[in-house]
Amino acid sequence: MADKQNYVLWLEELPPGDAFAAGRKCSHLGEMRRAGLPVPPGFALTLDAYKKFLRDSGVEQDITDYLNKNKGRLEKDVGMFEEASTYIIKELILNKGMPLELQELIMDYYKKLNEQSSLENVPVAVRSSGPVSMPGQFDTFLNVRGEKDLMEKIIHVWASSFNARAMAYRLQRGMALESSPIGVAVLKMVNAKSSGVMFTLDPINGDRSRIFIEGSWGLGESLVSGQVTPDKYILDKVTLELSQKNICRKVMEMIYGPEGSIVSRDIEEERQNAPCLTPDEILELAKLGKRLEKHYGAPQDIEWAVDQNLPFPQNIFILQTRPETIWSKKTAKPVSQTKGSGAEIIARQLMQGIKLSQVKSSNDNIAPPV
Amino acid sequence: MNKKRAFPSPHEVPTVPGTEGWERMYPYFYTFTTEDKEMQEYENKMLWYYDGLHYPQPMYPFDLIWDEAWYVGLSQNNSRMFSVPAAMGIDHRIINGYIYIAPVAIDDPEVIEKRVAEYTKRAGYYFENWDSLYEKWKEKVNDVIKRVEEMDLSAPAKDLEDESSVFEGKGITSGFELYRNYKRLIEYGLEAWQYHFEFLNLSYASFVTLQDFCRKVFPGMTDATLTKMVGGVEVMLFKPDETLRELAKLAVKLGVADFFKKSAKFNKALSKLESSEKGREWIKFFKENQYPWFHMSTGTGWYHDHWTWYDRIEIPFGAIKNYIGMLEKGENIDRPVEEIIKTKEMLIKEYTELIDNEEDKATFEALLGITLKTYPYLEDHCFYIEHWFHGVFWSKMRELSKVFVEHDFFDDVEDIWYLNRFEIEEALYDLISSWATGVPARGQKYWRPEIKWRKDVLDKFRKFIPPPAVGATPERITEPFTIMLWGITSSSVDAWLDAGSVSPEDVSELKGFPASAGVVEGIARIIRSPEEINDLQEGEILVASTTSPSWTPVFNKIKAAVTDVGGIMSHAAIVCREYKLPAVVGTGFASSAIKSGQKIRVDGDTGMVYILSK
Repeated sequence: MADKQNYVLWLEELPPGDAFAAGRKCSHLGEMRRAGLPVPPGFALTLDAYKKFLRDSGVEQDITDYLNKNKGRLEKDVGMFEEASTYIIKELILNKGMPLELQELIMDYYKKLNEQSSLENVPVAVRSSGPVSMPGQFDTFLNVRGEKDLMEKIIHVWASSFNARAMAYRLQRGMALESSPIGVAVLKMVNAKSSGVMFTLDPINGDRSRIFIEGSWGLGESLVSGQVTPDKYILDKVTLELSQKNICRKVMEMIYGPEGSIVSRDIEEERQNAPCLTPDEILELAKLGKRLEKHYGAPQDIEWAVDQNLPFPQNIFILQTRPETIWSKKTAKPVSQTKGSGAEIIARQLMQGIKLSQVKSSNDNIAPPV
Repeated sequence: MNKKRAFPSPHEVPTVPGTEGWERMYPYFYTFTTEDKEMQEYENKMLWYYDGLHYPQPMYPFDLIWDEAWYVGLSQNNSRMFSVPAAMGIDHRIINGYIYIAPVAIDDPEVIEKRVAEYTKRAGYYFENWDSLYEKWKEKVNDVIKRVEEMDLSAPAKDLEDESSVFEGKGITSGFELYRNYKRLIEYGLEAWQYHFEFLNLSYASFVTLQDFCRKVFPGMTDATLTKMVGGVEVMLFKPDETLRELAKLAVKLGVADFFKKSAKFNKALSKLESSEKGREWIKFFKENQYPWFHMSTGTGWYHDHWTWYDRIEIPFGAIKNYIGMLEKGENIDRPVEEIIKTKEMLIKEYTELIDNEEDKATFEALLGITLKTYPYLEDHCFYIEHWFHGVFWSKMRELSKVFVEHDFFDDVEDIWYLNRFEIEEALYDLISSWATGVPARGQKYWRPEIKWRKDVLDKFRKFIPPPAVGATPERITEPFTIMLWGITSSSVDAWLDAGSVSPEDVSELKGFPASAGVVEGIARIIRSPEEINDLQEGEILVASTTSPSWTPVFNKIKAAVTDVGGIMSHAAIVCREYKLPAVVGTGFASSAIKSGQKIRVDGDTGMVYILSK
C-alpha cells in the first residue's frame, strides 16, 4: 500500500525521470520546474491516485464485470468501442464521487495554490498525463475553479482513459482493457495577455540558427485553432538579434469567461495592429527557448504565455515543450560539395560565382525582361 | 506598365556639353571606342558599373594613377598569380571623368578545371603560410614606404651643379636626378599597389566562400554576424583613432585638458601647452606617437585632396577635444576589446555547435580557420597603402609641383593634378631640358591654358550624374571582388535599373545592404567631402556617397550611417559594426534622394531607409 503522500505531489517533487509516477507530462513539467524554468506552479495526481479512485469508488469491479461480459463482442466489432466507452464513462465513472481521502489531499494542495496566488478559487488547467506518449487521446480542461469543479474535472480526465480511441489503442497493443492508469496535472492557469508558440529553429527552412515565435492576444486557443493570423518574430539564436518582425491585424482573442468557460471576443481597434509582445518579452522568450533546447539537447516546439498581471520578467511562462519533429527527424544532408583542403573548397566556390538576371544593353534591340 | 529595363550602351552616353575632347586628359586605353569594331562589340556585351565606391568624384588626370594601379594589380592576381578558376581580371573605362569597371569571366569548363588545380596549389600555399608571408609583406611595404619618405624631389641646382658632382665623379646632375626620382616615385607607387593585392584577392575569396557556406547552412545568419565572427581585434585601421583617445586621456591625466577646451585652433592649444611643464610633456608624447598614425587620410586616401591628419590637424584636434569632453562626463572611450573578443569566441563556439553533421562541420572549420587568418588583412591593408603610403606619396608629388611652380609651369602647386602621370614625365623632361639649355621651357605656355580648360571640364563633370551601369549583364559573376566589395548581385543590378527610371525626388524609401544591425530615426546630414564632416551634429544620421574609416571620430557623434555605394565590407559597414551603429550601405542614390535636415529611419536589420519628412 502506497504512502498517502504519493497520491498527490507538487510537480517539482515528482521523482526525476520517472514517467510512471504521474505520467509523462507531469514528469516533464516537474523537470522544468526543478531546472528553474518558468512553468506555471501546480501539482500532480499520480498513477496511484488513479488506481485508488477506481478501487475505493468500486468502479474497478464494475468495469471488469462489464468488460468480461462483453469481451467477445469487443474483440470482433470495432463499432462496439463507442458503446462500451460511453457506458463505462457515463454510467460507471462519472456518477462516482471523489473518495474522501483523495478529496482532502487535493483540497490541501489546491488551497496552497490559492495562497501562493493570493486568490480564492484560482483558475487551474486540469490536464491528462499518460505514462506513454498518446498525444491528444485524453481530455484536458481549462479555467477550472473551485472545489466542486476541480473534483469533477479530475474524474473527467480519469474517465477519458476509457474513451474509444484509448481502448482501441490498448486492444491493438495487447494491453489490459480494464485499466490504464494516467496522471493528472493541476496547473495554475496563466491569465494570458498574449500567448503563442515558439520553435528553436526556423520551421520554414530548418535553419538551426534561428528562433521562430508566433503569438497573438489572449489565450493560446485562438492561435492553435488558426482563427487569427499571428504576429511573427524571427531571431538569431546565437546573437539573439531580432531579424524579422511581422505584425498582423488580430481581430479576436480568447479569454476566460464566467464559470470556467473560455470565450472569444473582438479586439478593440487600437490593439488590432499592435504587437502582442514587447521587445523585452521577445528577448526573454528567445533566451528561454535557447535554454530549453540546451536542456533537452534538441530543437524544441514550445507553447508559451505572457501573464497580464505579473511584472516582467515573472510574467513569461512556458506551458509546454516537446522536441521539434519535422526538421529534426530529417537526416541533415551536408551542404558541403567539396571535400578537401580549404583552398580547394574555395576554388570550387569561386568557379560558381553568383547568378544574375539577364539584362541586355539597350542597343541590342532585344525586348528586355520585365 | 511595361517599363523598358535596360542599361544604356557604353557608346551612347552623351558627352557633357563644353567638354568635347576630354578624352585626351586620360590614357588612350581608358575610353570606350567606336572605331575598333571588335572592341566595341566586346564593350557592349560587358556589364560596366560605375565604381562610385572608390570614386565619388570625377577623376583628376593624375589621380587616375591608383586606378591604373589596381587595374593591373587586382587583375593579375586573379588571372596570372593565383589562377582564380573562372575569373580573369576587371577591365576599366572612363566616361565623362567617372570610372566604370567590368569583371572578365572565363567560360571554358576545361580551362576552369585546370585553374582549380592551380588555385588549390597556389592559394593553398599562401593560406598555409599566411602568417610568415604576411610578416614578409609588412617588411616589403614598410620598405617601399621608407623609400618614398626618403626621396628627394627638390629643384635642380639654381646655377652650377654642386662641386661634389665633379670631384666625386658622379657623372649625373640634380636635374636628371629629379627626373629619375619622379619616375621612381611612380614606380614605387605602382609597386605598393602590387603588394596591396598580394593578399587581398585571397582574403576576399576565403570570406566569400565562408559567407556562401554559412548562407546555405544558416540561411538567416546576417553578414554583420559573420564579420563579427571573423573580424580582427587589433586592427591597424583603428590605431589612429586609438592614438587620439590616448592623447585625450593623457591631457586629462596631466590636467591640461583646459588648454584644449579653451582653444579654437590647435596652434592656440599648442602655444598654451608650451608654457607649462605638463603641457610640454603632452607635446613630447604627441610628437613621439603621431607617426605613422597621422598619415590617416581625412577621406579614403584615393584622391590628392583627401588630406591626412598631418595636413588637416584641426580634424584630429577636434576629435581629441570631443574625447576629452566624453572623459569629463565620465564616459568610457576605450574600444570594448574584451567584449569584442568574447562575442567573437561565443559566435564561433555556438555556430559550430549548431552544425549537426560532421562533413559540414569539417568544411566550416576549414573555411573559418582560413578566414580568421586572412580577414584581418582586409581591414589592415587600407591603413598601410591607402592612408600611410598615399599620404606620403601625395606630399612628395606636391614637392615636385613646387618645382614646376618655381619654373613657371604652374601658378599653383595644386595644378599638377590636372596632368596625368605620363604627361608629368613629359613636362618634367621639358623642364630639365630648359634647365640644361637655358632656353625657356615650352611647357610654360603650353600647360597654363590646358590646365584652365581642364579645370572647367572637371567642374562640368561634377554636375554630371553617372548612370550606375552601362552595357549588359552577364549570366554569372565569378569575380570575388565584384561580389564582395561592390556587392553586385541580381538585386543590386535591379536597384540600378530602378534608379535610372525614377527621379530621386520621388523616392520615399531606399533599399540597400543591411550592413550593421539596429533601427533608428533621426535627422539626415549629407556629407559630400571630408571638409564637410565637421558640419555633422550630435545625433544626426550620416548620409554619404561613401565614407572613410578616417572619419571614425565622428562615428561617436552619429546615430547611423547610409551610403550610396558599397557592400558589407565597405568602410562604413566595418566601422558601424564596430561602433554598434545601424548602417545601410549600397543604396544606390541615398545621397541624392535624401536632403540634409530630413527625418529618416535607418533599418540596419532589413537594409531599408525610409524618408519620413519631405
